[in-house]
Amino acid sequence: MTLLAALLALAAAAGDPASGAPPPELRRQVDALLGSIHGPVAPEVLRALGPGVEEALADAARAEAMPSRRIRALEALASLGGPRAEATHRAVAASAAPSAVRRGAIRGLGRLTGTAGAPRALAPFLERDPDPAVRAAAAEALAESAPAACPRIRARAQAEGDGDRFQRALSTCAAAEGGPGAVPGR
Amino acid sequence: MRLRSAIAALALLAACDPGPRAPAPAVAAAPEACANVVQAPSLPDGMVQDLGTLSVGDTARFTIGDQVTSFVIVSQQEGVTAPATVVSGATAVPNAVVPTDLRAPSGALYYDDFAAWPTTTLGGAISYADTTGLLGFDAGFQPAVGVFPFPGTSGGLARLRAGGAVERGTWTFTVNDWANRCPLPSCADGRSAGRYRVTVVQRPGGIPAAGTLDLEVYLATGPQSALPGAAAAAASAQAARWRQSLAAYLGNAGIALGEVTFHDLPAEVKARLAANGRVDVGDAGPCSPLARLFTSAVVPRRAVHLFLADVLVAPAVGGAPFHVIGVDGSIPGPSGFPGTIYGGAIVGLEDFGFEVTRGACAPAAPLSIASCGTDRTAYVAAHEIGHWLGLFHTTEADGTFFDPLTDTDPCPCHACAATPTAQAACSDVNPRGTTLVTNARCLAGPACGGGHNLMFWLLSDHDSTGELTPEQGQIMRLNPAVR
Repeated sequence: MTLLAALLALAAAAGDPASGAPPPELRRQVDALLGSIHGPVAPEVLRALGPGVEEALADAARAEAMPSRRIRALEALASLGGPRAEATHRAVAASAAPSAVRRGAIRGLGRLTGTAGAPRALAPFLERDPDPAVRAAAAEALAESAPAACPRIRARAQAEGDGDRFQRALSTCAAAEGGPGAVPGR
Repeated sequence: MRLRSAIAALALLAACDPGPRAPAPAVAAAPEACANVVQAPSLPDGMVQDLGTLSVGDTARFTIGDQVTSFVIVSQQEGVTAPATVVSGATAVPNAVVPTDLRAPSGALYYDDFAAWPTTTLGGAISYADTTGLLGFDAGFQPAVGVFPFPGTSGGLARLRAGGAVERGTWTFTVNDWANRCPLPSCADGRSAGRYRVTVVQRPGGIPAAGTLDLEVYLATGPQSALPGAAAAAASAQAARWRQSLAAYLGNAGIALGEVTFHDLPAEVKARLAANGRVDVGDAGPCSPLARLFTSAVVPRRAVHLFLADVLVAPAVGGAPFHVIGVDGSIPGPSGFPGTIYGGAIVGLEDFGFEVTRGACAPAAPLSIASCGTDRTAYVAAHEIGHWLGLFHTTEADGTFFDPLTDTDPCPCHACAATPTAQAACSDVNPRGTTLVTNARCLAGPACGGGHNLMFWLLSDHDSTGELTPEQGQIMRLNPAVR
């Protein structure tokens, strides 16, 4: 093997720092840990895998793969935080992914954007998404991240006429406002 | 998952101090036990001995007849007579309901809750807890309802094989919960007035080479679910594929899948505990939503009682809720006692019907957990059923604790980690370790195994074949749920 070939092989094995591509072994580790049956692995376990973890998780979240794996990847990414996490969540939430995956992205987006950013990030999903389950997920994420948006959530729930679907969001709002957690429409 | 997290915590603690008595998992302070309804058995009369209501400290006696091949002691708390947790040092741990001791008619001690676990050395000089040689083993750590099996270990199976049957005659054990007598250090015990309805279930017949398992399936699903109700499930092509896949995995244990019956849950139960198909599985306590949901598994059948929900969610401490794929109420499950607080297993349906490649879930398509979500859901269901029937993870996540069977290969972290850096971060050599063992790493060397096994803690598209060892199959077939 020539020196150049050896260097190229070494670079491939270590990943490509210029593109930020994670090393193959790290990608394999991340992929494996997303298969946890009973619960997710802790963020510190993922962080300990080293640089490139976010990229590997983002790729897994965007891949045409089993919904449970994509949701796991989104949750892991949200637990690590950062701009890549937010961008991935926005992209998946707005994609044609299965409803369960989009709902996972919505929940993570609420967490990542926080009190200040959640209303702007989530209101379009709450008010205009064609999937009623996604609208309800947006209501829940909004209620948890930004209780100030509760009037908007109540208005949406009233417009939907589906108290069951918005029950969690409305209960969260009621709890945040010190109310009894009454749910209309039940 | 409740038990799985308990065992994971146990494994971590065991790695720190494998010498003395098995430490218990740390849990957040749980609410006190809520009213617990004692359930009557749904088993043939000849299998059941009702020992009545006994208090902690009482000596219980039961009789084993001819040709009995397994038994299970089921202790159900009456009312709220014991706390749900007990404090050990600064930590609240579950008030485990487990006999202090268990003695055979010959006087042989089959179980001692105060004995230290034996240890073994793997991969060099590292010591690990080794429960394979014990005659009895309990890692339930569950309050309110205790389920203690024999056999559950290689040691127990060997004793059974040697005698051809469980030793006949009068067995004795001391009724206990840890709030009464606690084997942990600095435990605030002596504070239980626990009263338990104690029943012994014995399984007659020889050591079975095959068996049949019926399944009662309860749908905790929403109106938009792929399986919104029992009628839809009975007519669903994907549900048929799910049954077929599940049968294939159980077949690896010599178990035929018998009758599978789908049930609707009462609307009130769904509204309260599974609104829109979402079930909270985060809390392990006897008053938790999951425990309450399991009490609705009331079909009086000798079967595994499995719930299907659209989404399983567990709240994280200080973080966002996370998804769970499957949970079993206890290891083993309270077979024959439907409606107890741990009398169920539950699986999420997020992958059900999903095809990574078009046609992967078609009726004639081959079994594939990588490309057919229905097969994947069946794999998880088989894993949870494995727990119910008495199996533990072959190796826990951090690679420091292994199941009590000798023919399942362990995967010790330090011996199987991929790199020196990962090795150095193994919990068996580093109390702050973060390395977890994966299927691939557990197939990567002569000292590493279990990566194909149904009871591995991870599901891998490439490596999970659902294999089960002969001893795992024996443990499963000896469970009273299997006929």
